[in-house]
Amino acid sequence: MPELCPFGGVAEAPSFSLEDPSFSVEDAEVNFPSIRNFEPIKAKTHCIYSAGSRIWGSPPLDRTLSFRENMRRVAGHMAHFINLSRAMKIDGYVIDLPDREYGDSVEALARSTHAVLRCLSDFDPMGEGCMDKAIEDPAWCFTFGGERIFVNTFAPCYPESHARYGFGSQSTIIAMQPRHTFAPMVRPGDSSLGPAIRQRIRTIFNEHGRSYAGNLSMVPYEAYRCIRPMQPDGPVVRWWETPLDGI
Amino acid sequence: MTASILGKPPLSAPPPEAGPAVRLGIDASAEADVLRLDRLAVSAAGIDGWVRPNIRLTVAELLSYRSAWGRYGLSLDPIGGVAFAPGKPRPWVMVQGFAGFPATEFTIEAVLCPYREHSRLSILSYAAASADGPQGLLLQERAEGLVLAINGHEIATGLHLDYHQWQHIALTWRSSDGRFEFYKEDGVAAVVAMVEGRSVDFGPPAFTGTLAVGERLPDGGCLVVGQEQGRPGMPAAFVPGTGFVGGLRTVRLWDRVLDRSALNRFKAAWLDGDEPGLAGCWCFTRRGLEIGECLNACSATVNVGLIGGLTPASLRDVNLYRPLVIGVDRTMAGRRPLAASVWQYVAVSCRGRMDGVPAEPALAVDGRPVPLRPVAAEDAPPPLPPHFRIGPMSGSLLADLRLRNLEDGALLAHYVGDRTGDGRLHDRSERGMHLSVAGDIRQEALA
Repeated sequence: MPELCPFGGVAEAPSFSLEDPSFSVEDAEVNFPSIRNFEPIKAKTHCIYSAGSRIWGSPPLDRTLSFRENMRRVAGHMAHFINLSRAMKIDGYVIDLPDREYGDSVEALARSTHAVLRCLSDFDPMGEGCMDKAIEDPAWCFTFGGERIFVNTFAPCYPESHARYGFGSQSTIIAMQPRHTFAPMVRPGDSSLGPAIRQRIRTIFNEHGRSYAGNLSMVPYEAYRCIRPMQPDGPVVRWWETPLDGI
Repeated sequence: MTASILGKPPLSAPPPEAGPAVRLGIDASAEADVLRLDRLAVSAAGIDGWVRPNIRLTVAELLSYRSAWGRYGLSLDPIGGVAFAPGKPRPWVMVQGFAGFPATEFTIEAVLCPYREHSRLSILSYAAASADGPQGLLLQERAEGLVLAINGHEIATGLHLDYHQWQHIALTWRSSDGRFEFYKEDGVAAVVAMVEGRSVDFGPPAFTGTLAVGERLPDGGCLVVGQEQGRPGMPAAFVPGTGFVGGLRTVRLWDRVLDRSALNRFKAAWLDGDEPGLAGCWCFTRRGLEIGECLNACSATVNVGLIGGLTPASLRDVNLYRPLVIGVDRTMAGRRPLAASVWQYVAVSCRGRMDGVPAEPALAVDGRPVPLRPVAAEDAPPPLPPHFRIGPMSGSLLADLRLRNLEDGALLAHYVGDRTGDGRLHDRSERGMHLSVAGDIRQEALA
């Protein structure tokens, strides 16, 4: 288990380094281990949009720093993704927690997700503090750098028969998809992803024995969709209520 | 610490008559490399420069920045007239549940350009339901001239509006003795004055009469510009074939009778909304037409006009711009406009990041502070994808445009219109924030 600092307390003022000389598109897209660790999921998941997507990854965690300090670095790096994702057509940003303990159970995944999102919210350069708002509210969405973002998770706890199976990756992946990246999937003139496409994706997952509960996509609260329960009809994973200390 | 750029640069420097200027083509803009946006994130931003805005029908961006780290900028929202077209959808502006409608005396002013279309043109109507039957007023152009009706009592002036010509009219009424006055410009003199860029004063009232002695107008009714109301506040019950057709720039309502000298004092002036007795002053901006609301200079929240049947494409005859100062999550609107086709020196300070120094947004034009009013988030232009950009400004001229970090006074960018060797807009500061040019952007000598 990596050594992590306790969470909680008063949020620090967001900070980041300007004119970040360490930022490199090549690192974010090719070199970082996060990209390699996400590759099995990207290549093998049955979402028809995944294989062709362009993804950036977080910098590797520095084990000499606390978890919170690591997330501060991730926040600075992710801000570049927010700035560039439209212009460079980057579809998502994955945060890689490379130790199995971060996601060896749904409970651990819930704590890790909460910890990551809490830190990113605290270090949001736009200071919106989305994690301080009412989460069980249809208006809530994870927000960072002024962008509304859908959060998806993959973890080693999920078995081969699960829609969020990691295809052998030992990493816990927090995948960030800004809302604007969904727009190209919607046919011009339509207001949402067409039912035929939805059904096709669902059928492919079913055919590979990884069916998922479609009704979770229709719940009013975005937070319910971040972590899938182990059983398709299982209770909602209330990750935002997990303790932030000692994970 | 509160940062401000106001007072730092020369506030009344002479117009850049001899210096270089940048002309931005119709849809031209100059934009920074998005990979370098982090270099422009500042706690508090100061923008200053000379601008001569050209006529433009969409919101113009003098300078605009947005990234994951913050947002700031200065946009110009065109103010103009709107075209009330015949047929459907019927165009109207409606103030529902009017708060504080003048009961016993008023002055109404309108700047309009009527077309020959209907035998009755409704300039405005005010209606309230009452146990005694419909109450309110109606101002209409008819075969018998301009007609004012109050609580069912009518007076016809026998004087017609000047068709197909912009004009400023005013009428006053008071209940105590029923005195009614109608002021109308000398149409020929008004045309000459417009050509010369000035305004003519009202002469003595073109018509005086007596109407509705002792009557009171009820509060809380519905004011509709451009239509006669069959039932208060119900667009489906507008009287067919009596809608206003033509151009309309502004409507002002005062809760008192203004005499001729007061009318002439305010006639060509922009009203901030704080003038004693001003109950409403409605005008049209591009952003207002986009969100379906008619701006009331007196208040951003009270007696706002809802728009029906008018779209952004209805905007015409732009001659002013409402400055919009954008600082992170807050937009403020200047309560005095910039003029089109005139050199003006603008200076803005605003917060650039959420965690930035508490820079109160401020705006000065030609060295004079301009009062600001908050704009609700849903009324402000929506944030654009991350960028740093000048323009588009539709052929406008800029000169000596500077961006500063107000926290330490550092100059972040300075543009005068010259180009780098590879054709980018040259940043004369030491930061090298040269901008890629899209469209026609030229440096012009103004000597």
